[in-house]
Parts: sequence; C-alpha cells; structure tokens
Amino acid sequence: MWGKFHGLSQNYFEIFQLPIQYTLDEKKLDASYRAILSSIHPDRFVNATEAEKTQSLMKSTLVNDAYTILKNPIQRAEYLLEINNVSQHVKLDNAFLMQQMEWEERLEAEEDVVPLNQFHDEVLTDLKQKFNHVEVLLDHEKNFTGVANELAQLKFLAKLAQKIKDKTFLLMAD
Amino acid sequence: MAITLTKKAAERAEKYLESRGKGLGLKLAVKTTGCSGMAYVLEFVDQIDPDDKVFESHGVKILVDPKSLIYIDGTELDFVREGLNEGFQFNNPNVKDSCGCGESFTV
Amino acid sequence: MALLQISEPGKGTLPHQHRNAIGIDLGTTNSLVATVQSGVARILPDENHKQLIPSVVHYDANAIRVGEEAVTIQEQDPINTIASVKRLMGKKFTDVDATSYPNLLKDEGNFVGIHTKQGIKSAVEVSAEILKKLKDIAAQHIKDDILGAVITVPAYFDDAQRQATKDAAKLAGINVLRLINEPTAAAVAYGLDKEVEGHYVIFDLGGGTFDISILRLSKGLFEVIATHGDTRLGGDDFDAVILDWLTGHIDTKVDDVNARQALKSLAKRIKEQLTETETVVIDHSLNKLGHIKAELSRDAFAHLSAHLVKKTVDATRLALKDANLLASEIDGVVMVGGSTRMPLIQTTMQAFFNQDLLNDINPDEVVALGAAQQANMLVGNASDQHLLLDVIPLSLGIETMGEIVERIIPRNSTLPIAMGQEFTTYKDGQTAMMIHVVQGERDLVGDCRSLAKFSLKGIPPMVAGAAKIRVTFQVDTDGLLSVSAQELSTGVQASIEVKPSYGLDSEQIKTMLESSYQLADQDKESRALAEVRVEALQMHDMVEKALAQDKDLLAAQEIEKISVALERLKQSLDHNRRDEIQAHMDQLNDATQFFAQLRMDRSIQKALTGQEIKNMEL
Repeated sequence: MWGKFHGLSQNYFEIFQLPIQYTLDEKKLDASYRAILSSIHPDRFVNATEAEKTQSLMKSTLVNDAYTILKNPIQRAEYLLEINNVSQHVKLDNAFLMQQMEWEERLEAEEDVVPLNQFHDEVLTDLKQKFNHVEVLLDHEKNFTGVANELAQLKFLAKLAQKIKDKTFLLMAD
Repeated sequence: MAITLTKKAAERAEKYLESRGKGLGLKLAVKTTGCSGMAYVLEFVDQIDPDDKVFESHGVKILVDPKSLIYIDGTELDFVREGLNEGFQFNNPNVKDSCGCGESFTV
Repeated sequence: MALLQISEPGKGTLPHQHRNAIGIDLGTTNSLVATVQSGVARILPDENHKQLIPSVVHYDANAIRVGEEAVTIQEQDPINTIASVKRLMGKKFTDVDATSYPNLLKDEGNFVGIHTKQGIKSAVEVSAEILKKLKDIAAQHIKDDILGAVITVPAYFDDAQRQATKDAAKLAGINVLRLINEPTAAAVAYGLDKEVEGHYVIFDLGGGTFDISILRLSKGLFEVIATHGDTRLGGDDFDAVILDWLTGHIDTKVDDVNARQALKSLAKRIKEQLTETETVVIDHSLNKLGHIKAELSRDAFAHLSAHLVKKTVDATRLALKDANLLASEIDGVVMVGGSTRMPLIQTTMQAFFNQDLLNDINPDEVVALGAAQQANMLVGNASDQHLLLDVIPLSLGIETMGEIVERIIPRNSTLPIAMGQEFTTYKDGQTAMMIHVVQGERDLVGDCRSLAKFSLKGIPPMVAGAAKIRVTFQVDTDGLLSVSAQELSTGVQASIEVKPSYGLDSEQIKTMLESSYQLADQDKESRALAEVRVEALQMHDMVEKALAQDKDLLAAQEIEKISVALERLKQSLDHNRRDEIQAHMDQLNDATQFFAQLRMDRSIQKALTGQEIKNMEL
C-alpha cells in the first residue's frame, strides 16, 4: 500500500470496533468516527499540555487515515490484502488488456454527452458486479489471490469512470 | 429583601437571551474563591433547580440558590459602560471590601 | 474594574481566569475583530465606532499609521502606504504584478520587500501592524487577558500563505488558537451547526480573494468536502474594470501615481453606487486630467465584467464536480464578502442554484463573527460543542526524477493528516539527501508552487539502496506542513533543515521579533519570566487534575515519575529562573507523554461506549 501512515500499530477495523471483513456497516463507521473525533480532535485540546496536544494530533491523524481507507471500497479491499500479507502485484490477463484498449478507444471517439452517459452507466454496472465479487471472495471464499486480480481491474474501471465523467463535464461546460 | 436589575441591565439581559435563542433567565451566585474571599457568578439558566429562589425584575427572571442569597441579598445588577468596555456590575450592600477587580469581595 | 458577562450554564469562571478569545478576519481590503460576550458574537469597533478597519498601513519616518488614519494619507503619500498586502503574503517577487502596487517593491529572495520610510518591510511585518491594531481595539473592550485568537484565511491559501499569516500573528504578539477557513467561519456564524443537515455552498467574494467551498453538515459536524477559488480575484478586479473604462474616457495619459490613485477611488465609488441604482452618471473634474462626463449602467457593467463573473461560475462548477454534487442538491448558499452585494453576483448565483441566497448577516462581518464564535468554543466557553473538520485545499507532492510530481497528500483530505514515504540512497555512503515539496494539482514541478526544500542529514553511511528513510509529512489542523524523517534499519532520526521557497525562514522571524521589542532588556526578561510562570502553573494544575481523574491507568512506577516531575516543577517556581522553569516544564511534558496517550485511548473507548448507549436508546 502506498504512502500510508503507520506510526501507531492498531488494526483500522478495531479502532471503530468493526469486524475485520469487507462488508461494511457504514452507519456504524460514520457514527464511531464522529464520536471518536469529537472527543480527541486537537480543537478539544486548546487548553491542554503539550503532551496532550501531541497525542491528540497523532491519534486524530490515525483515525482520519483509518476512516478514509475503510470508507473507500478499493482501499478497504487493499487494506485487507495488506493485513493478510497478500501481494497486490498481478499481471492483467490478455482478455482484459484487449478490453481496456477497446474502452480507451471508445472514450476517445465519443463526442456527445448522451452516449458518454450511457458508457458511464455501463462501466458503473461492471464496477458494481466486481465489487460484489470482491465481497464474496474476501468474506466468504477467503480467496485473497483472486481478489488481487479483481482489484487491479477495479482500479482501472474506477479510473475509466472518472475519465468519462471528466470528459462529460468538459463537454457540458462548453 | 430581593435581587433587582436596573432597567438597563434588564434590557440587555433580555437582548442576550433573545440572541441566544433559549434560556429562562439569569442565575446569580457566589463562589467561595477568588482574590478576596468570594466571587460572583453570572450565568444563563436553562433549568430551574427547585431549591432556587426566583425573583423577577423588569420582566426578567433571576434565580439565586439559598446559600448564595445570604451574601448577595439586596443586590442590584447594573449594566455599565466604561470607555469601550461594557458589562454587568453587582451593587451589593453586603460587601465590606472588594479586590479592585470588582469580581471578588468579603462580607 | 472588570465588568461581568453572562456565562453559559456551568461555564462561569473565577476572577482573573476568564477565557477571553477573539476572532479576526484579516482581509485584503478591510479587517475586523470580534468576540463573544454574554453569549452573543459582536464586532468590536475602534474608538471612532468604526467596525471595518481598512487593511492599510502607512509608514512615516517615526510613526506607523494603520486603518482609517493610513487611508487619509494614502492619496498624498501612496509610496509609503501599503494596501492589499494580503496579496503579497507568502509570495515571491516573481509571483507579483509589481505594477499593481504604487509602492516600490523589491526582490528579497524568499519574500517581496516593500520600500518604506522605515526601510524595507515584508508582507508579514505589514500584516503584523494590522493585527496589532486589532489586538489593541480588542484590549480596550476586554479589560482582561486575552487567551488567543482564531484568525481566518481563504480556504484556497497554500501552506506558504498560511504560514505567513501565522508568522504575522506571532510578530503582533497574538497567540493563534487556530487558523480557520473564511467560508467555514461564515457557516459557523449562520449557525449552520445547529439542527441543519445537508450540503451548503459558501460563496465568498472579498476585496481581493474569491473562494467557494462546499460543506457537508450533519449533527454538529462540519466537513469541507470541496474548495476552489482564486487568490487573485475580488472586488479590486471589478474596480479595475471600471478604472479601465474610465481611462478610456480620458484623453490625457494617466502616468502620475497620485492621479491614478484618485481615479481608482472614483472607480470604487461608481461600483458601490451601482449596487444602489440602475445607472451612474459621472460628471467629475479630475484636476490635471480634465473633466470626465460619462454614464455607466448595470447592464454595461455586467458586460464589462462578464469575464470576472464567468471565473466565479467556473470555480463553482468545479467545486460541485469535486464534491460529486449537482447544483440542485445544494441546500443553501451563503453569501460572504462585501463584493457579493453587487446585484450582478446575487442574480447570477440565484439563477445558478435556482434558490434564494442566505445573505441576512452583513457580508462584511460574517467571517469575523464566526471566527469569534469558534474561538469562544475552542477555549471552552460554549455549551454546544460542534466539530469542525477542514480539508487541505491543494495537493502536496514531492519532486521525483524528471521533475515529475509524485502526489503524497491529495487535496480535500480531512485534516489532520499524515503520509509516510520511503526513500533510499542512490550512492554508496550517502549521508544526506534533498526532498523538494510542492503544492498544486499539475504533474510537472514547474507548474506547481514550490513550498520548501528539506535537506535530510545524518543518514548512516551504507551501500547504495540499503538505507531506508521513512519521511512523514504531517499537515496539522491549521493546514500547515511539517516533515520528520527516520532511517528504518538503524532507527536513526535524520535531522531536517527547512528552506522555505516563499515566506520568511525562522531566523528572519527571530530577528524581526527581537527588533519589534522596544522594551529594555530587563523589562523583556521580567515579562518573559511572568509568562513562563503562568504557563507552568497552568501546566501543573492540568497534570494534577489529569492524575486525579485517570491515575488508575498507570503503574505505580509511572505515577511516581510524574509526581516527581510535578514536584520539581513546583520547586523551580520558587527559584524564579526562567530557563530552569522551562526545563522542568519540558521534563514534565516528557514524563506525561505516555499518560497522555493512555488518556486519549480512554477517551476513544468512552466515546464509543457512549455511541453504543445512544444506539440502544434509539
């Protein structure tokens, strides 16, 4: 995982008293995040000793990082791979590479908002399917290697969805 | 005896209560610390304690707990301005000596 | 004699222990100071009952004038009068359009030097004069110690600009409780923390800066989810549009500084009149420049400034895109900054969001009022405790091979945040390396703003690639960056030297601080001693209280360690020596570090348990 803050070693799920799994109780995550930060945020330690200010800053930083990662479905899956010591380096299969090229060409060719929106919807459907698959692989089949492969494709699809959105935005702004 | 507000103090208190959006009145009390024995406390009231004594002056409710009342009975709360500084002032007939800052006193 | 204010229930304090705090809006054109008294935030006027203090400073040979006084001299002596200094904060000479200032600007390397009768001044020093003035005004209203101030900055301010603002406060002798974003302060002033849930846009067009922020509010939590803007767009630019138009109506060339200043003032008045009336008729004699006769309508003004309005609309679109929201999903639009009074802006935004705007708090005052409320809450006077979570407005990255930027902290990340990055040596026995930190969204180093170069020293000599240096980039709740580094295999803490690309380095600040003290050495020392004594006593009380509460978290040995440090600090107070007291404070701080950590964990546990109880009740 790139560029994460590991100053304090506590499992991110445990911080929020969540089970270590891909399926997420988002409401509980949000509520716990709020409750924790409301009690330890540096704003609560304006009249405190330097030691408390330092600790408040460090813990709030950790909690923010943990929240961001758990909240994001791709990063959450990557984090689960990381704590299970599974490498995320995979080679994308040729079929997917071919598909990638087709998608890129399509993105290049579309010049209207309506077909772009349709394209975006298709990619979103694909994304949704893959996320469901990741959930099954991680929580039920415990097939971590399979996840690494799905994740690589997911990341590509998420980026593609963003690119389609950016292009639509530019067309609409003109 | 009783606790009273000057008209100006009452107007101000009413304005503050209105801006605050809630509150039943003011609470006056004394605390037994400070640089010369006792110190005044002036707070908004959101809940009335059954032991509190309730006064009313110019339409504003004033609450005082019985222990504090001994020391401040007869007090008139005024609102004054000194240059750019403005705020409330206790005119307390029981005070023998006060600490210059006006916030703490002996009886 | 100190006069009393009404406290929140249970928040009454003892004499001489009132927690007074102020909010400061340090604006490009005007600055304001506010405080909360008896539960109400109000702007503190100066002795002439003026609430808006012009952000203008005039340097005479032996006097410094700030505000209205400086403005009255501006037309006679523009060269020694500095206005819009906020635009020079955290900037280098090459960033600045020197022709837009009547002053003589000079390249001072890491900052812009302004020639005055009192020598060369930096933007930080000029801002410090404005802050001193505001502090004096506050002191006249609050005849008691002021614990500190919340100072607002545009959400779009980068690290260098924020640091410059903090430095200015330091020079002015103001303890900064927090730097907060102007739009967030406005949201606080509108009480959006109470009961409201939803997405809010804060549209802030001031004298010299524009920013737009989208906040998500829920259950007392403020989150800035996107922010965009332009630190070089504001009312001044609309003045300039009219100025250009005026110049077109004059035959003579305007090359005299004084004449230009007079014309500038006229342009500003025309703009303000257009807020009141549909058309402004100009029939004005301009001394050397002759007579000017012309007419400007709202429509014509809209046409002239269309490119400026478009910029605000474009930024609004970008912010919505970043937040993944449609204009129709916005629950409220708050208008901030004097320039939002322009009917042109009001109608444009009303149409864009298709709803009425929130504009009933004076747009000039709203930021300072919110800052005062936030300050009041931070020092512990308020009964409601909302939490304000801000984000970093611009991505932070480091320079890699080929002058490509590698992003380490993406923009809009919630603060505080830290990211670690591992580096290795590329030569045998290499003991130092340089890390160049930049801020911005572009891929090439040259297109981003250079923030600082950190040189890491004291890396243990090893073969190339063997040393693993972990560098941590921390951005705190003020949005300010700090960097630390550690060699992983040996655990050696590498030392870091910071060379800010913009703004003043710590040596320069130190020199300015020293020269700003005009007190005799002895006074200086006794004041410093008094300050450290107060701090030590407060620290002693806080640690004692913490021990009384959470002693059970510690082993007997740990308690003993802290008790000893407490006792030593107390004894050192009797000796009345500043360095000794400071040293014992540092020791107590070290001794309580672990305790503070345990207490923080307990707070988390308590918060989570509280959360569960709440859920069970639902």
